[in-house]
Amino acid sequence: MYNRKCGLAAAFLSVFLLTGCWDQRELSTISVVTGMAVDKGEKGKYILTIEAVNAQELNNRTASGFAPSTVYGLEGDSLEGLAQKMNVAFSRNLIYSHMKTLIISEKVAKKGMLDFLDFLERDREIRDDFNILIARGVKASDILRVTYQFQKSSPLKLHAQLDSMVKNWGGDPDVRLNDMIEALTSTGREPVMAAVTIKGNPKKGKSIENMQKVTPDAIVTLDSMAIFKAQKLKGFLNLNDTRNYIWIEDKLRRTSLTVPCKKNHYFDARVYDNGTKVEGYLDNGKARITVRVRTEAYLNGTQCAADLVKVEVYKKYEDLLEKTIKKNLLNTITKVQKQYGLDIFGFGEKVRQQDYQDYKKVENNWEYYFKNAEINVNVTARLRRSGIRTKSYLTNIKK
Amino acid sequence: MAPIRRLRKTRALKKIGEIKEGKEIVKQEPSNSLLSLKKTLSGAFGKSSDFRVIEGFINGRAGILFYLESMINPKQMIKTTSKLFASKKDAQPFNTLDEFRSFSREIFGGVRCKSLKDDESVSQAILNGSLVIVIEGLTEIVSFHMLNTEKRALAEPSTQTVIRGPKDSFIEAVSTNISLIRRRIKNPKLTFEKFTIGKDTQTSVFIGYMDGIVNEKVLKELKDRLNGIEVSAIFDSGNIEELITDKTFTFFPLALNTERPDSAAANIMDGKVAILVDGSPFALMVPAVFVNFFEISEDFYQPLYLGSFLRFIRYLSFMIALITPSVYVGVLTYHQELLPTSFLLSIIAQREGVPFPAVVEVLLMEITFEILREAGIRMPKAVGQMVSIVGALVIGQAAAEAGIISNIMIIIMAITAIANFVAPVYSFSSASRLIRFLLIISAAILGLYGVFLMLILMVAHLCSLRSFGIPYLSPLAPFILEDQKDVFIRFPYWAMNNRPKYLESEKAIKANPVASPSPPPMKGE
Amino acid sequence: MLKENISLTQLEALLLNFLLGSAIVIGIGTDAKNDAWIAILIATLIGGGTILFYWFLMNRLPGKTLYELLEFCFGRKFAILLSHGYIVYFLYNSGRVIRDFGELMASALMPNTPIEIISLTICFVIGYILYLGLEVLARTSEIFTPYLFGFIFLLTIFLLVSGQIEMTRLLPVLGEGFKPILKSLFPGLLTFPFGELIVFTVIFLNVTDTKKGQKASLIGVGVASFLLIFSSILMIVTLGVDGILRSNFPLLSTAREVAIGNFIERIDAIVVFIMMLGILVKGSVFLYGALKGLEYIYKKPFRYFSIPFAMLVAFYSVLISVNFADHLQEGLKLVPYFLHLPFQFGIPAVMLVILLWKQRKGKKNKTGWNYGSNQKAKKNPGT
Repeated sequence: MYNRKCGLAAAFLSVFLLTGCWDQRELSTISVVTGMAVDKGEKGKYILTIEAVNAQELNNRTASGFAPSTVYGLEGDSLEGLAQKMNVAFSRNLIYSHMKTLIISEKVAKKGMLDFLDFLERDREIRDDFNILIARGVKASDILRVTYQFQKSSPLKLHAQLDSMVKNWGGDPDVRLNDMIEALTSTGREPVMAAVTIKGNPKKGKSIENMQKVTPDAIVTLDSMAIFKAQKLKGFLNLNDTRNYIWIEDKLRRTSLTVPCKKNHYFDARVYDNGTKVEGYLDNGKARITVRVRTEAYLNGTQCAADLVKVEVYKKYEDLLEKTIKKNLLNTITKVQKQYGLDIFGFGEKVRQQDYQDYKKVENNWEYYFKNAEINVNVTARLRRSGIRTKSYLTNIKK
Repeated sequence: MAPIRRLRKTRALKKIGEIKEGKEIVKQEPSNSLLSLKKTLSGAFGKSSDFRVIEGFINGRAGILFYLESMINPKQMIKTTSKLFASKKDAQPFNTLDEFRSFSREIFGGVRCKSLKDDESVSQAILNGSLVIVIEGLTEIVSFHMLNTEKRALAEPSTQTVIRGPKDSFIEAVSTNISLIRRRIKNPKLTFEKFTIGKDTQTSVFIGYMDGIVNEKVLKELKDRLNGIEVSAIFDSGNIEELITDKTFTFFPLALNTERPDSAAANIMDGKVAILVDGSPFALMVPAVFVNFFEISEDFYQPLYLGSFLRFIRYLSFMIALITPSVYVGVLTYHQELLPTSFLLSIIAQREGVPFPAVVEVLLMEITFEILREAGIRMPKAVGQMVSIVGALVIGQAAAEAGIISNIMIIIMAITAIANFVAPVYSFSSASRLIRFLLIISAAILGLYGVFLMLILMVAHLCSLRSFGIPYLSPLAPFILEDQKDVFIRFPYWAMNNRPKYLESEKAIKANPVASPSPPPMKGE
Repeated sequence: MLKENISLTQLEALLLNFLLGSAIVIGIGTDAKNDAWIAILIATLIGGGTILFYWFLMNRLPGKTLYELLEFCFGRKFAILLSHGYIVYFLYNSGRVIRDFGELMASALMPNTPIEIISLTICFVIGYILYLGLEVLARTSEIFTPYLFGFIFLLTIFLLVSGQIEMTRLLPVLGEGFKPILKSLFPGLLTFPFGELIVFTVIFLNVTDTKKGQKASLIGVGVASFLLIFSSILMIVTLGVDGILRSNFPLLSTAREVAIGNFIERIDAIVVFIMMLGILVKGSVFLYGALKGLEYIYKKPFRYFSIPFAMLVAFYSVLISVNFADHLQEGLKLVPYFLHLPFQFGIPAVMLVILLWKQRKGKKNKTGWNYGSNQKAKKNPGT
């Protein structure tokens, strides 16, 4: 009995102890990659630039004033190969699992060379939680190099910045890899991406001094939204249109809408709750799309003298709000229809879900139907309250 | 006649005198039997300086007193011997045993008296603290139980303390312990049976149970196992525990120990058997299952929700004590991608410059802590503060400041250590304490996968354990719905109307089903 | 040797873990696209029928395992031949399950660790559990069950809170009609996971209450199917059909979507380990089926075989296929037709016919019946 037990124990121990630590990586030997930038290469297909952070510098207790990160680029034909080759410059094992931002240069996107997304989707380490951005008018690698006072590393800053942007105003389509690929593979939707650019001098932005200034020499700003046809970049929509886009997409969290109440006088509605439903079907060879928006907002500032105790005043403002939203949304949709003819709103998907049999027939030709689609926007807006004041002081100004 | 104590091995009895009940007078017994007894006993105890032999005349007859000075209550001794020998010269020498009896009743009062028949029982009586009297001409040797009952006063429990609840605890004297339980269960069904275990130490071991409630199969099994013990010495219930449990090679204790009479009584009422060992302030309760080690009697003295919450905290601490260090090693060396970014960056920043791999760091700290802990228990109380000062300084500050250990490691170690102390039964914390090291090593080899494999092995091992035939993981596996009232949460006391089903006790119903007080209806209803 | 007993709850737990086992890892019914859940719903009804069929078969001769039933039907010599077939079949299935897990680990968590090590370690645990016996396996799976439930519940909550769920992804319902559903039902869903319940014919006799056992099995199958349907819906609404079709391990991909407030995110390792529990039980049950067969043939208690055969399973789980595509294709194209259908339905159906015929004859002619049962009693030292 004891012999058998000993044998069992020996077998057990050998199974465990003879195995080794193949996947082991000590923490002191790794460096976290926070951002990737893809530029068009000259000798190779791409230039991949990565930013590996120096964790000690990011922590205020241990920081000693050195550069918060190291940015280095390599040229080659595929991202995977380059990512693993990065040790030509870096001393530590790079881990890509905490990548926060992927920046693609305008040039690469215009050529439609997004096939590297397969690697990003396939790799087990890289996750689906990074922002995908287009560098508009600047080199993608430069975006990585611009320092910033708080997060210090540019990708971390962008990640936090876009998150705040989504929460406060909208204007970032908040595209993740999955959304991107879903749009690429769907017949009824075209992909979009947020676009960023550098305000200021990119050269000066690379230094630590940039972090020490009240007005930095260079700062990365959210610029617009890029529109794609399949993998090819086709154009940009400005921030207001971007907000309207996410309004239609039902991704709007909060925003602030400025609505004219008199000529050259405005009031601000802070939208805090929104629900959008899109209904679509094909009718006699014409797509009919209805966008139903239901918005709740509160009034937070008016330039008109308004007596905000009265129901009628609320009613009036609500009507104005509804009209503005409707106008904005319609404008954006028509602009996209006419200018690009690309169904970035996913109307085709809605039709597919709601009118599958008809959609199947026009699936491959949806772009044409989208261009000629009849769009209806239906807005219900509610103003619920008006901050902590009733009447505006403007109503009793003594002249 | 008092029953002669059972003997493990029958020996050829050497008769000192013939047993003649009652009236028969033996006038002139050859006195050499008296002397030979003296010789034998002196031979056996001769070297012990506390062995006393007093010769004298008792009511005119020659008599010898044997006793161990160290075992006998000196006050009682002086009182009785002075009376014994001071008997009047003219007194009638007693001729019959009956006469001697009535004589001794006068002197000894209610002291327990026993007749002895052979050498061995004589020496046993002496060892048990009796005064042995041999009188010329009487067929009987008589012993008077005059054990020095010096014992520790009842004190508060030292290892299983409570905030609210009875504050007494068992002590080393088994008779006191029995009385502590009896006082709580005033029921003739409460039975205590005596065993004498230990060939050389002859330790008294009592098993206590509620007749009619206890699971007879368990009881029989326990008796068989106790009778089967063939060791020379028993000093504590820990010895018994190791000898009777189903499996020795396991990290988990298969018998519950308690030093609290109320918890022993509660367990007995549930249908368990208590084992009390003379000289040990810890009672064993069998059969014991895994969840018993997370239940304490205080759960039912505390308010309902708090009681349940504390249970939850105890299970949580067990898990924390078990897996925290290994998860730390596994995540930090294998699965950095699992940590949120900011957390990872902060750990990297802290560990910058730590010269050891994470596993070495963890093992170093764990071993250091175990050393400190052992030192804290063993060292004289007077220097106890030293350990805490040196320990806190060494671990807390110097190591971190020197950059040998990262701060996060100290946090991990501290939470592990504190969580480990939560275990209400000390012996159970040894499980998490030891398995922890296995887990750390497997985490170092295979990462979190190793930790999970090890945990599954542990669960399988737990599933295979039995305590006196009761599956160790019951009532979780096998799952018993009715018993869930007292596992992770405790139900109101009035709802606990079943004895634990997993114990398979004879009587399942504890009380009338409805014992819940209901307030008068609300006004307006 | 005392007979091992498993309670009804334990039978349910075993069935639950078994059915979820590898099905939840690689995803089932994906042929039906976003109607996969309807396909599984229909398959559940068939699955319930299947297990009742096995119960009916086993109840003809209560207290006998599949192997003894084979002997009763075909005589010992031929039964040994068929038993070898079943043993290899069960071992193969066990190997497949382990391989599924090995691939999951290698692709998701530990890409540099040889898959041999993963197979070997998990098979060692399986061997150890079986060495401890069926009771321990049943209790272990009982312990695992709440974790499975808790995991799926938490995953749902997390996904809801992360805002990854879009119910519209379920639309259009039955867009292509019933054709894709039928395609995924036969032989896919029929044989995997429901047909694999054939291995439980070795366990039924250990159930304490065989009368209630049928009901308990139905409950087990029902609950497991509910979880399968639920997870299938969860995957569709999170990933979309296209995402599922492109994932090797859809549930893993689903779990990777969880991200709540920079704190609860990156839970995929936990997902892998929860899946490991199901794999462990499924692999063990298959191995147990094979071990019981060996016990029947070689008349030695199955414990002696457990560790060596667990190691064999580990070995073959690696050898089964050269790469992951091979592994999947083998599982989808070859195994259902050449292994699953004959072993799960073919032989049992033939057996049922023979049994009914023999028993009817036995009722008429008492001696024949007695002969059969006596022989069984003599030749079975193991039970």
